[in-house]
Amino acid sequence: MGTSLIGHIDADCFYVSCERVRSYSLRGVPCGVLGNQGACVIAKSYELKAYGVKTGHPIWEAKKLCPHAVFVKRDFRWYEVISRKLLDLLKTVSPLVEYYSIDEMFFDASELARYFQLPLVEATRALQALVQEQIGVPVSIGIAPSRTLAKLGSDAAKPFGVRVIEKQCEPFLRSQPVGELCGVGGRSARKLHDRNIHTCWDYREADRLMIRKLLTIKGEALWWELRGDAVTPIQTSRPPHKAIARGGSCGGKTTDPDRIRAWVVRNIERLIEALDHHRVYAGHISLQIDANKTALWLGRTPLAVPSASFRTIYDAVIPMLEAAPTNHPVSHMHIIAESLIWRNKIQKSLFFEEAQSPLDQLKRDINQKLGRFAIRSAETLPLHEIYHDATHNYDICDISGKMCF
Amino acid sequence: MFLMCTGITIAWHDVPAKLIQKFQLEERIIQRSATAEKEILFLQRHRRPLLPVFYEGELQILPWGNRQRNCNAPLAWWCEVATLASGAWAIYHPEPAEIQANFGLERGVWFQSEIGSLEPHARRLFQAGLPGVKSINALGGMATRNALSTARTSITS
Repeated sequence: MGTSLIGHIDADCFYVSCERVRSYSLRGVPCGVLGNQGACVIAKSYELKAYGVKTGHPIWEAKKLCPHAVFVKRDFRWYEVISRKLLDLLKTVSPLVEYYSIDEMFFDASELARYFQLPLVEATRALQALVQEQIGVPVSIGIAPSRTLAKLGSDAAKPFGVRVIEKQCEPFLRSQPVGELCGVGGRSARKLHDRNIHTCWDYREADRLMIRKLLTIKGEALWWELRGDAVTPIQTSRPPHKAIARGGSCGGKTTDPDRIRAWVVRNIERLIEALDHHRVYAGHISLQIDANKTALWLGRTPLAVPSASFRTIYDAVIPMLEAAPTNHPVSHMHIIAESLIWRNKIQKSLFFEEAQSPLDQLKRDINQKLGRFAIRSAETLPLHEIYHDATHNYDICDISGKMCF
Repeated sequence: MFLMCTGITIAWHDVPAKLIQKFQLEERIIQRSATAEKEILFLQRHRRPLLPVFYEGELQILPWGNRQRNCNAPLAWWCEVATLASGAWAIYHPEPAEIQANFGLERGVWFQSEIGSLEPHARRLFQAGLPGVKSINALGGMATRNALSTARTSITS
């Protein structure tokens, strides 16, 4: 479904803004949100940013830069509440809304002026004020004929601004470096710089076929979008996953085999929850182990039949873990389910066990009733401090329906 | 690891003007940014360590910890909840009270109440003392999500 105008709404320092919704005392305070077992800053307020603190800084560096900053631990359950409130509010003013990420949404803005009975720029400001009043979170909004232009507009309007961009927007595009484009990473930007393409305007004016050759069809889509031709529609539901992964940091480097195994089992349990949520079975299971954020080991095992059974996945993963080198401290790991098959499309087998055992179903039912990880494998006991802290029980990947991470 | 809270702040507007004047708290007022609200700082390392404690229906400013050897309370800033539960402090007749705080300071990091790392605080007591009169042991369980954290306090006479 085509739309003449696309809006992009982007919450300003979203995690901090969510914390400020429930805690008045944080307003105006340089504030950082900590992730990774409280070690790194994953979000910061503009006040903290002014001291040079960046996302990813460890807390010991951040406190040196701003000794009076206040740090809070992440709470993705709360951030999801605010995010879904924002989504619901947006659905009342727009017929089409895409839940792009926890703090970003695209929407059909062609009816915005009519909804607020105001000219477009004022209507956009009215929407911004409505969000501030009803949700309590400051947002920046970009309105443009295409998604790429709308996102560029909201990014340029930050913090707490609005920007309406028309098809002919040469001065604006000349002011935007090509690296600001969503989809142009560092390597692509270097390729473009080599061809003397430095700004978004240069990109738009470049030869289309050259762009396609350089950055594939995705680069060409950006080229069209920068000209105001919307080639990527607003998607109201997420396409099915090709793979589902669970994992992340192991809370610091470790060589302790019990802790590593505990992390593996925790991530298997999280993965099975995700497979249950998406109503799919896994055909292949991969285990990736990282040392110092560099891939140390990657194993891949096909399952005899598609499954979401703890026992089956455990039996596939543990041999991969045992085959992994043990002389490097493990910092991160991921368990990846691939070759996903819808549960109602699976062929029943006479010779293999059910894709989920009654024990799996009982465990799921109890955890749904009593709380996540109420029943878990005893092999996770070495991670008692992780389970003891409720903020670890819900991660950003547990927020479903988003288009991207 | 056993962690220790070495300071708290309370919103400036939460402290009555008469208490600010009486305890000369003006010199402890801080503001973390131009748009942040003013706070009053209570550090363990202050020359005269104090704590804002809600007790007997009103906010009181009480000395924090006991430095005086001639007092019958132990020389301490805090004690563990486990020792309180075990009855080791029973001779001081502990009673519940509240420490009012916006933020806490631990190992040089300011934190807000109800974050994961706060759990250790709930297992210990802040100890405020009124030498010769009574001493107060306040449980630093800053367990609410609100700006004002609550903490249980116990008093000995």
